[in-house]
Amino acid sequence: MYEFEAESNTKYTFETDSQITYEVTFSPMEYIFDDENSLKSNIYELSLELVTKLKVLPPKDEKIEMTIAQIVRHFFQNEPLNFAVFHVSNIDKKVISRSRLFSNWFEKHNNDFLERFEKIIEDKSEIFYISLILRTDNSLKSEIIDFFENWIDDTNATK
Amino acid sequence: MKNIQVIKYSTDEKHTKLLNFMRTWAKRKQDRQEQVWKDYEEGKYDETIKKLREKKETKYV
Repeated sequence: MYEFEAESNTKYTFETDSQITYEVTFSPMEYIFDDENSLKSNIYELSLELVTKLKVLPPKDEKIEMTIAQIVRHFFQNEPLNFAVFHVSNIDKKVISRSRLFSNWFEKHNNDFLERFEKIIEDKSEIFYISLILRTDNSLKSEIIDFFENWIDDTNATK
Repeated sequence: MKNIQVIKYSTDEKHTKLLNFMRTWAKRKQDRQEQVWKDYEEGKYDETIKKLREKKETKYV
């Protein structure tokens, strides 16, 4: 695993042996809810950014996934009620392979501390993948799952 | 809820609105990546990278 720098428990940076830097962020996503929603302060978007601009794909490196797993654990360790949504981009039309990669990574490193739910939204020519991650022992679990299941109805996404 | 929920193409208005939201979200994600690269080029990550390298050196001393 690589050493990482944590900034206010929501922004993490690490550098690989190949000197490629990554950033993992948990951005508040309260804007999708109405003011009264009680889950508003607990929702975050998990994202992974490549800080170093590369011309070729970065080399396969198992320590990267181990580091990300540790960062995700670190985030949830301190905030048991938080939950994160992860959105796989369709920019390069590789949604399915990216979502599969994410699922495999999650199963490999999770150890039952976290739980994951997925939503795949298909249109004629587009596919979007969203994953919900929360602690197995999150006391708001039923409300969160209900929100995720009814995302279409319950959020500002459709207003 | 099942662990995987698939919402297939429909002409429902809700589906269209959700798709629009997903497109906006994807665009925002792309913009954030561009911003990170810009910040990197402007040296905004230099201090963090320095700290990370110092940590690495300390670890192997």
